[in-house]
This record gives sequence, structure tokens and C-alpha cells, in this order.
Amino acid sequence: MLTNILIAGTVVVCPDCDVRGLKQAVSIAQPYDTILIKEGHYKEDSIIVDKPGLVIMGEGEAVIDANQKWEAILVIADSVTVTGLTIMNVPVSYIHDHAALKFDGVSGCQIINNTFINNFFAIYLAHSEGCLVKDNYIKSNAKREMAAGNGIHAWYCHDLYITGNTVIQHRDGIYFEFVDNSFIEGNYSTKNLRYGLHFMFSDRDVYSHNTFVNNGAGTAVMYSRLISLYNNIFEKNWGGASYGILLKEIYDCKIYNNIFRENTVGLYMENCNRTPIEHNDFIGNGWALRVMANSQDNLVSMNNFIDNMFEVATNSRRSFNKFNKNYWSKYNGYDLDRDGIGDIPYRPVSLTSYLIENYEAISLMIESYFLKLLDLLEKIAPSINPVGLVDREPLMERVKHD
Amino acid sequence: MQLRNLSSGSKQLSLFEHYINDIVRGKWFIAYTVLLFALIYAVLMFSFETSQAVVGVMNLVIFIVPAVGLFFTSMYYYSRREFMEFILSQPVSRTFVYFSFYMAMTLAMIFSFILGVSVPMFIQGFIPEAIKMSLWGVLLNMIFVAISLMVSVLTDDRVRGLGTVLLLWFFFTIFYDAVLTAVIIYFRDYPIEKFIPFVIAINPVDDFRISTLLSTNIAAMLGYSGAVIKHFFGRFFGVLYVTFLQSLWVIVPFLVGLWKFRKKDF
Amino acid sequence: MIKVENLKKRFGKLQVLHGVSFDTEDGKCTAIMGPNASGKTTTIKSILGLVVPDEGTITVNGMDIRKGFQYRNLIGYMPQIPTFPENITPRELINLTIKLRTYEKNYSQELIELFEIEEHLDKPFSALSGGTRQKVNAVLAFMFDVPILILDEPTVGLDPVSSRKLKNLIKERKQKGVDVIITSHIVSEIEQLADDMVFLLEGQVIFEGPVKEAIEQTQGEDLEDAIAKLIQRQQAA
Repeated sequence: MLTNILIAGTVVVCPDCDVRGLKQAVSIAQPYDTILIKEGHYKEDSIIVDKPGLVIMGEGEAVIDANQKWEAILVIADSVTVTGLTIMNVPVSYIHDHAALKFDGVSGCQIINNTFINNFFAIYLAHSEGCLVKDNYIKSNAKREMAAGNGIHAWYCHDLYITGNTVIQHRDGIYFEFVDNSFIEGNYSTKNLRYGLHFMFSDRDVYSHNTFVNNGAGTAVMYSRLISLYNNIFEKNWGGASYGILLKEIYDCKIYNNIFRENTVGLYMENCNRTPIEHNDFIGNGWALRVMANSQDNLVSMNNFIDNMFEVATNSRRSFNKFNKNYWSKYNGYDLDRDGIGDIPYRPVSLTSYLIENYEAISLMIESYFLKLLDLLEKIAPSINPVGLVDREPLMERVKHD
Repeated sequence: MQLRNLSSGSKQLSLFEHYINDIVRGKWFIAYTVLLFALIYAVLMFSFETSQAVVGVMNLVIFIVPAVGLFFTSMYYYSRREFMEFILSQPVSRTFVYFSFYMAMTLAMIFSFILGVSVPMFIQGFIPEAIKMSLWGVLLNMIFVAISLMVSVLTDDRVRGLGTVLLLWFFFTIFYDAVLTAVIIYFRDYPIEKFIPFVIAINPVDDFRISTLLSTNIAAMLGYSGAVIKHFFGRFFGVLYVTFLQSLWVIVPFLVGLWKFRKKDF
Repeated sequence: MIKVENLKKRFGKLQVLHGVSFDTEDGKCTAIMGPNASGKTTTIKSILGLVVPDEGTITVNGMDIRKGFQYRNLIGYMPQIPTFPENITPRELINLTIKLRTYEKNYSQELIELFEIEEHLDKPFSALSGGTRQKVNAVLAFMFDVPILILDEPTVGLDPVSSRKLKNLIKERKQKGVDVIITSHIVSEIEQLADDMVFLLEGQVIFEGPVKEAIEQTQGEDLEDAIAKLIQRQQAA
């Protein structure tokens, strides 16, 4: 009988087969076998994959339904591949990080082209290395932050490659903690209750070509160094504490060619240091940049600041960062020598922006004619601006990035 | 002598009707309504999304409505002072004349607000926003017509009256916020956030501005104070407080004006 | 009939009326006269309830005017050079006045025909000449069967023909028993119309009585002379 189902190292699972579940399939499979799960609805949970090299492959609509009981699949062997599966209904727990697909202490895993629906955590990587997470669709229906888990969660990992995934309505879309030397590329993260990307204590990572739209608090990159951030779009992250990106305790990163559009705060910098911010577009944000006084030696250059309500806010009258050669749509200086650079320096921290940053309650005066009057007075007499931050070479034309 | 019953219904409405006719046919009134319609329509047309449209309309309304309510009422009052003598020589009570004048002026201003602000909003499909805006339009016009009528009745000199009205406009639109800003800066070391909602709610222009902002995406930019005031406006007590204050702005000037009007020499 | 007793009024520092008293009778025309700033206007406005006196009482046909506004139903008033609301038409104003009054009948149509203003009735006041406005003013005052008429410079701005018509109208009403009170700068007009005269100087009545008596008392040649003598006599005293 066994010979019937063991064809060339493949275990077939289907609702009418002898092997009617993944758990059973794993138990009879040999390492490096393929488990082919045919279309069907499999109510299973607590599946432990402990054989290396298994390829678990769904065919058609192969659904593993944890039915709100426990974690679905835990992988503790190296080089396991999971592809083409749909995993759903992993329950919320306040004690245990239940995940649809968890990898613990493995290397070389591949998670490709799966669908995750209504799980607490979806993909969970712990103490793992060299994993590929590609083209997965991850969606939850979480309503409260407390009762929600993350879409892609990585903890104490390195050399991950996260690409082409879509994460919707989890707590954090992509969560990195102690994850080094990894790429996050071309992902789409939206409607997550907290951050589209939550990133801490992770060094030498690259994230590029991602889109973070309409997440509760935008994205946060904290306590990290040597991060490259380019060609990402941060859009419509709008709310009382929402940021295109919140940078906190950041050293020696690069931020370029990103688009920050319609966020409450485009880029928030708290203790962010030695980081060049170049060739980015800041369009229609509440504040394009908020730079706290403990951020130093950053360079802000060749960026476009267009139609932001406030361009730069800072809580210090001195500036410890260099602002040079940016395009500011609110700049109305002239260029007599026609070299493309305005002849009078520009102060992007307006008096009203300074007041609101330092006296929070003044934000209640936003859109009042009194603040409009102050703006007008500042245009007439720029010397009333108390802030030292200045762009000495403001550009007359919008920068065309490569 | 044949006399009709003194308390005939047509008499009650006749004077009100007269004032409405006189105001609404005035060239300034027509010009204002058309201009308001054009401005609001333009703002709505050039807005990309609802919040921007609503804030744009709000910006125009807080500038224009108090100004027009104040100036128009005063100018009309002074221009009809001699005719007022004719009216008062008729068998009518002064309270009746005052009330008719106030009601006619307020309703005319509300009428032009509805035509100039609410209608373009309806046409452009901002229906819930238009309803909310109309309610504020009613309240703001009731307030500023009452204040202006009071000032006009109290001040016989036309130039002084219009000067006072100009100062009041400046007070509500700019000076109140300037003083409040100074207070916030001066008392930075005290937990004034708790008191700011109480103080800022006194000014009807600020009430309108903040409640409009809270309904748009700009609410996110009002920070902690915004959250405090949203909480404050959202509670029954807050609504009661604001309603009470705003009714005072209508009732007190109305009654002071009436008191003076009843004992005034013409 | 109107009874004014001990009327006093002060505007700020200026005492305008120092205890003015006089009576007017039904079926007679009383002229209230006096130089500028003598208190004529204030007296008339007090009777109409436009000015609130500091002291004194006014009764109109026995009604104390402080008791309410209804007494004004008895009075037809022609203000001096009225400025009517520019956006309103005479017809609307006539209709408004009819509604504010409580008379079953009015003579507006007859008066409109008399003064020949039919064609102007639906034009706004801003389009009407001063003379036409004054004719409308007359219509408004005379269109009810009022027992009292108060006319402040009634013929100013009227052409001679209309002026004559108005004077005839005043005489006619007087004969019907109406109590007519008139102010005018034109002495000849007073001589034509007035039976009695109340002469005010600096807020005091220096003469009250029939016009003829004023001339006899002062031994003046005519009313104008009598007035000049009244003023001289007062200044000498």
C-alpha cells in the first residue's frame, strides 16, 4: 500500500487519499521529499515539520485551516520550502505568539507564493538565517492593536530576503528585531494597525522599492546603523502619531530617492546622526521633516519640498545639520545671476512652525488668521525668524532625480 | 372712526417682510451673495479632496462671514436711521421693531450664506459637510448680526459705530488668537492644556475653525492639545458649554441692544 | 387734543426743553414756531414718542403716551424731508403703513389721484424726485381718518400746485374737527393755516394763544413783525 503513494519521493495529500493531512504526510515523508497537497480544506493545527529539505507544495486551493485552535505549522528543520499553500484562522493569544508559519532556528528556508488569511502572526522567523520570503499575500482582519500580530515577523535572524510580499491589516506589516544583513525589497504594506514596517536593533540592512500606504503609525526604524533606504514610497500615513518614517537612534544610514507623500510627518528624526538625506520628494505632508535637536551631522540636500503645510520643524534655535541645495516650493526668492540657485538664503523652519514645535498648544491656532498674519510678517521681515536652520543655496527649480 | 383688531397677524409679519425686501434688493447684498458663491465655488473646484475643500471653505467663511455680518448690519442700520423715525411714529412697539429688524437682517444673512456657501457645496456633492457648514452659518450670523446691531444702537455716531465694528471684527478674527498665543507662550511651564479648550471655546470663530479642522485630516496635526479639545468637544459637558457660550453671544448683545433701543431718543 | 405739561429734556449737557406746556384743540390748527434750536423738533418728537422726556406729561386725546404705543394710531405724521428706503416702492410703503395701522378704511387711492403719483407707485424711492417723495409723505399722513395730524414743514419741496392742494387738504381736515399741528418757516403759510400759535425760544414757551392775539398783543403789523417783537421782548426781559 505504501508503494502506491510513495512515488519518487513525493507524498500526496488530498481529502480522499490515504494521507489526509499534512501532519500525517510529514510523519511518513523522508527528508528532501516533496509533500504535494491537493486542493482541499484541511482542518489541522500544531503541525511540526522536523525533517530537513522538505518541499511542502499546495496545488489548487490547498487550505490549512487552524480553525482558531493553535499554531498551524512550526518548522524546526533546515532548508524547508513552503509554497502555494493557504493558511488561515490561527487564533489570537496573549501568551503565545501563534503563527501560521513559524520557523525556529533554521537556515535556508523558502516561503514562496503562499496566502495567509486571518492569522494572528502570519510568517514568523526566529533565530533563522538565509531565508527567502517571496510573493506572499498576507491579510488579517484585526481591529485592535492589542489583539493583532505581525504579518512578517523576524527576530534574531540574518541574511533574509523579503521581497514582493503584500501585507494588509496586521499589527505591524513587517517586523524586524535583531535582524542583520537583510534585504526588504518591493513589498507592499498597507492598513496595518501600527507600523507598515517596524524595525529595531537591526544593522546593515537594505530596504528599497517598498510601498507603505495608510498604516496606523507609518513606519519606524530605530536603534540601527548602516541602513540603506531608497526608492520607497511612504504615503498617506495620517494620524496623530503617524510618520512616513520615524527614525530614532540611527547612525550612518542613507536615505535617498524616496517619496514621502501626504503623511502627517514625512520624516521624523530623533537622535538620527551622520545620515545623508538626498533626492527625496516630500509632497503634501503636514510636516515634511521634523528634526529634533539631538539629531546631528545629517545632510539634507537635493530634495524637493512641495506643498507641505510646514516644511521643517525643529525644537532648537540652532541647527546641527546641513541643509543645502533643496527645492522649496514656498521659497519666493529671486535668481538674478541665473545659476539656478536663489540669491537669498531660505529658512524652511517658519516662525509658526517653530512656535508650534516649542509650544504644543499653539497647534490649535492652525489655519487661524493670526498664524497667517505671522507668516505674512515673516515674509516681509525675515529677521523675525528665530531659527538658525538655513538653506544657503535654495534651488529655483524642482530637482529631477535620476 | 373704524378700528380693526390691534393684534392682527399681518401686522406682526409686515415690518419683518418690509426689512427683508429692503435688504435683499440692495445692490451690496446681491453683490455679496454672488461673490460668496463664486469664491466658494472656485475653492471647491480647485480642491483635490474633501479635507482641502472643507478647510478652504472654512478659511473663507471665518474671514468673510463675521466681517459682512458686522459691517452690513451696521451700515444698513445707519442708512435707515431716518426711516426708523417714520416707523417708530407708527402704532408699533419698539420691541417689535427691534425684533423685526434683527430677524430680518439675520435671516437675510443666513439666506445669502445658504446661497453662497451651502448651495455650491451641495452642487459639488459635499452634502454632510454642507449641512454642518449651514448650521455654523446660522449660528455665526445670529451672533455677528446681534453684536453689530447692539453696537449700532449704542453708538449714534456712524463713523464711531463702524470703527467699533471694525475693531470687533479684528478682535474675533485675529486679536483673540494673538492674545491666547501670548498666554500659551507666557505660561509654558504650567499645565494650561486643560484650560485652553475652555478659553478658546469662548470665541465663536475659533469654535467654528477648530470643530471644522477636527472633522478633517488636519485634526492629526493638532497634536496633544487637539486630542484634548476633541475629547472636550465630544463630551456632553463640552457641547453644553459651547452651546451655552454661543447662545450668550446671541442673547447678551441682543438684549443689551434691545434695552438701549427701548429707551433711546431718535 | 394734545396736552403737553412741563416738558423737560436734556441731551448731554444741553438742556433743550425747560418745562414746555401747551394745549392744542380739535378743529384747530396750531403752529409750533420758533427759531432754530428752540426745541420745536424735540417737542414734536416727544409727542410722537421718538424722544423720551426727562420730565413732564403728554396726553393725546386723554391717553398718557407713556401707557403704550396705541395712541400713535390716532396720529398722522408727515416728517420733514423724509428719506425713504431706496429699494422699496411707494406702493409697498403705503401697504406697510396700512398694515401697521388699524383702520378699516383708507383714502390712499383718492390721495394718489389728487397728487398725481400713480405712475411712480412701483418705482423704488431711489428713482423718485424730492417732490414726489414729499407727495408720498403726504399720502402716508393723510390716508387715514386720524383725529390728529402732525406736519413738519409739509410744503417743503412741493411745487406750487401741489402745495396748494395740500393746504386745501389741511383746511378740509380742520373743518372736519381734526387737531392739526404744524411747523413751518414760511410765515405766510402759518397765517393762512394756523389758528393758534405756540412760540418756543430756547426751550421755553414765550407765547401761546391765537395768532391774532399775538399780533394784537405785540402791536405788530403782521405775524412776521409780531414774531420779531416777541423775540425782542423776551431778550429784553
